[in-house]
Amino acid sequence: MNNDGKLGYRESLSLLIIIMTGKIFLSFPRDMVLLGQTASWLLVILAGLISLIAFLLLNNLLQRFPNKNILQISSEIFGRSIGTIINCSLFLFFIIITGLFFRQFTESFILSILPHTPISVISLSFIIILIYSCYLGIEAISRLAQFYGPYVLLALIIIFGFSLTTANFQQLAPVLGPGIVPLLKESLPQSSIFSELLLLGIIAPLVREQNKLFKLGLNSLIIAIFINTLFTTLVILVYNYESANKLLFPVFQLARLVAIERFAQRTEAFFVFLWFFIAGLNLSSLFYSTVTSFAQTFRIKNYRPLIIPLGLLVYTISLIPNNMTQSVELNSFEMDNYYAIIFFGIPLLLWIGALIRRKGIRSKS
Amino acid sequence: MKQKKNISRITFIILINLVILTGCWDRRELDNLALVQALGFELAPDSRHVLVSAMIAIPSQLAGGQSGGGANGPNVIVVTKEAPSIYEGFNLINTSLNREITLLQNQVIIFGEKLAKHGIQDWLDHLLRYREMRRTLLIFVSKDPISEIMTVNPKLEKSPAEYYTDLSRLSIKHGMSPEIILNQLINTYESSVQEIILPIIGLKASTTAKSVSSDEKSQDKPEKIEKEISTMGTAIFKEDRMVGYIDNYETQTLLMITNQFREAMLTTKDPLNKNGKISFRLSAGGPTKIRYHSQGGKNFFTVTVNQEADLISIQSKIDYTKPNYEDKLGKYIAAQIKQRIEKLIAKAQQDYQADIFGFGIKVRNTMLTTNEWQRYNWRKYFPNAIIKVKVNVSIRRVGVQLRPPDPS
Repeated sequence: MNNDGKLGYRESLSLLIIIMTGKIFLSFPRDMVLLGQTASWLLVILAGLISLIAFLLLNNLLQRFPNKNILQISSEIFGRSIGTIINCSLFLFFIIITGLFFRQFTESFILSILPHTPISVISLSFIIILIYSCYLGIEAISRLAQFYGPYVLLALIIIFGFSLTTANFQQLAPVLGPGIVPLLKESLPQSSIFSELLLLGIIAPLVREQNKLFKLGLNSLIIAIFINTLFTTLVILVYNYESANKLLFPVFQLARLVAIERFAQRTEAFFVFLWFFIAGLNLSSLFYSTVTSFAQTFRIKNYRPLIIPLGLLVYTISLIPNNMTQSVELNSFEMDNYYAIIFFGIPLLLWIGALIRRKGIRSKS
Repeated sequence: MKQKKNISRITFIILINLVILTGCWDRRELDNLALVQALGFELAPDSRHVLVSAMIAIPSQLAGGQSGGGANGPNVIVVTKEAPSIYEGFNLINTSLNREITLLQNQVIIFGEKLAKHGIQDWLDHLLRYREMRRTLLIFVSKDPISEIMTVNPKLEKSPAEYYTDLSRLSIKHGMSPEIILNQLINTYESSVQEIILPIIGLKASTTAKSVSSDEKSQDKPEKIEKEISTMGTAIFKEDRMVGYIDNYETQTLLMITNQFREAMLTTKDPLNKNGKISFRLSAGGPTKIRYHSQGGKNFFTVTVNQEADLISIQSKIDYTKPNYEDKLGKYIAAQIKQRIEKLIAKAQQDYQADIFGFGIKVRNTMLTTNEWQRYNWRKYFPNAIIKVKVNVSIRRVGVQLRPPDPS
């Protein structure tokens, strides 16, 4: 890890935000609408609040063990054998989430601009990007994230602004959607929306300003909650909840609706470019987490030789689902419980372990 | 040594890009595409198949010089095929047309009236799932055979598809036909708060064309009656079936309630002088407000329509620009609009039992959960809802003249 550079505050902030909000271009808004109906915005906020607890636990751990990432912390608390098991589950989490997101992004490219191209070709060209960016390391990825951050934001604002002209606020009624109880019940597994925040656990020791770690995590989480909520709401406002839950990639459809009278129609091509960048950043940081978590678990000093084999593994995992719907279902409704367990469970487990075993610096002192 | 390494790297990158970036699979050359401008679906005589009519642009004609549309013959060809599904229809069209059919430039979809009456449910998914279909498409219902409608050459426009979009957009000037895009259609269809409305177009014997160049036309084709496309009001649906239609003026009233009405020129009888007429430009003064409350299982609505009228002409010599007359005239116009609105609401409630106004939205707003709303079944309650109408019309402007001309 020592040959990796250091990350600045803004770079890591934009990286964390992009990694948590990249999914709004995929089926995420639709999943929320399916579960939360008209109150899906509430569902996202509730899930965000639950994620906030997970973040506080994670933050507590990172403060207790300065200059250590979550994998090192777990092996320090629980020793080598149990620590390895925990770290393996983290690695599995990252590789599966990378593989499934990878598949969804390639499917979305097929749907949006390259309908006749075989998926293997798109996947292959994309995996080359991942491998290359991973060779360059997290510093390069995060710098790129900071560079594209404003443009991404600008494009999101454009989509948002122009979609608002077709929005109908009465479509938010009935206010509570499926009712309070189902919402609360769903919000727990749906905290997996923000499970990519675990990346913070991995890049924490690399952040230059260690005292800003808490601020970094909190800000990124809050901004991500804000953006995700905004776009979920927008989807209900433009399509009502009955039709939104039938769309595959709602924000792409939103971009297709953007039209400025007759002068600028069919503008989605611009957004698809942006989408490529977000997909690239999102997937390469997830892939980086996969590679480093594997290296850390098995105490391999230099992670670079692992990149190509793990890249092939991700490529293979991405081709496991038979079709597009299966990959969406798998990621959103079958794996989400596991994501939530990892996201919530591992920091909790480590935190309890640290308390019982009296490891690390006491946060109070 | 280092340079050599760099060169090999660059060659490697170029080679990879050669393979990846060409996009061989999705290459589509413009000269191999037939750009569909408008698409029509009708029910085939046996009721199981559709007649797909595609209006395809002839590129050389559209790109041609400034000499005007009508002179060089039509700018589009219209192909009609009978097929079990829309996209199979494309394949069939391609058996006789040498370019690949694409919907990338399509702007308009026209349903045949028979198909609309039969139910559009079976064909809606066709419009949504295929990736070339956009939710910004304008939707019409046609009273006449679509192939006939599509072959009518517009007088002012080169591209007939533009003609439809313009026709539809002009509704903000007269409010006589709603402008409905596919996204709205689907939202309404799926939401159960409101019924679908679609603009109707049809053929009318032309009245204007003769005067323009009557000599030439009559010499060329003496027997054929010149026809033109016109909007003819609004089709009313119940669920996915067209159950009836209302005319242009009823559509104005409908749009006043749904807040889509912008402005229109209207004429009314002079309230003080039975022989005279008064023309005015009615425009939306403020959003129409609908209040809702329910009592003892009955639904009560109060619709408040706010309009402004600008006087355009007064035939009688009565000076309506005087404040007390202005007020009187405003009330008179309001009463007339109120009568029209009440008539339309009664028609929708009794004849069609279709909530085309969106009163259901107000009912839904009072619900807390979606289950509650779905159990409620608004369609059952709408015909018995009690709807009160209030219309406020204020005369704002009187044109550039105060008193009407008066012989002395």
